[in-house]
Amino acid sequence: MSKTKVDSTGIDLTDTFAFTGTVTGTPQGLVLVHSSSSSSAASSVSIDSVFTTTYNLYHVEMTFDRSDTAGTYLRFLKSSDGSERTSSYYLTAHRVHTNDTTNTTDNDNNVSTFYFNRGSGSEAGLDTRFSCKFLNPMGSSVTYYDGITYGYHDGENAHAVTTSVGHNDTEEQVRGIKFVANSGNITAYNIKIYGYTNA
Amino acid sequence: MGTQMHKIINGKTIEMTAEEVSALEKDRANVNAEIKVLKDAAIKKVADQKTGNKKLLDLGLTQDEATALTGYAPPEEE
Repeated sequence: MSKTKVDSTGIDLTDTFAFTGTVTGTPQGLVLVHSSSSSSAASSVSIDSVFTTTYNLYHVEMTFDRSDTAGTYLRFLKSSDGSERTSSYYLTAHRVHTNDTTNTTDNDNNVSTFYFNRGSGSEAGLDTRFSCKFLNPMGSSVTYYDGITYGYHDGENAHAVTTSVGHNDTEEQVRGIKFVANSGNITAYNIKIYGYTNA
Repeated sequence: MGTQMHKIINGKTIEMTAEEVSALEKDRANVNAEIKVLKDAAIKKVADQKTGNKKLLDLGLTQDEATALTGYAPPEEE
């Protein structure tokens, strides 16, 4: 018998319930829309058909390992045919290392990738962490990006944080993302992508 | 025997075709060339700032005056 009214004294949940139903209604907060991981070496990792019109803002949490000290870049996958968007990326990046006060800035103006990570091959026992947001990927205008990468930078012999912010200037819908090792492989990764409700 | 190179799509590992490997290598070369242009420009800008600053000092300006004009302040170790 379904219960439609709860008395003000509440419900005693000390018993064990075998819940098999589905919660309906409006979800709040972050909703997991993709989760995958792998320890197989691959030159690229694509997460396709992950962006939909359901959410306007997405959050990505990722850790990964690289086989060498080359960089890692990111591209959008077009909604129209799943191919890579290879132009019109605009990105500003700021890198700081844990061993000194050196600040490095990069200004990528109308380039072919979001080049968000430089050097993390011998990661000194630490995965590279990448966290970012995408705004408006399935909208009709541009898609915005902001991300933080934290990992080991071999050239600097230190851990480094890279904060990067940018957009792709093409007014088109994008349905996914593709991470590419600029040489060698991504040797392992773990990624979760969430959609923001009420964004 | 395949290419021994792989891509991952939505968690599934797939061996790349020879055409895909060729396209990847071409793309990597293009990206590296693109990065090099940006890096070279950044290096030249730093060098130009340093030499320009020195010329202003040689003209008799103090470092504070030169910085006020150009915004460039030499690193502390200089």
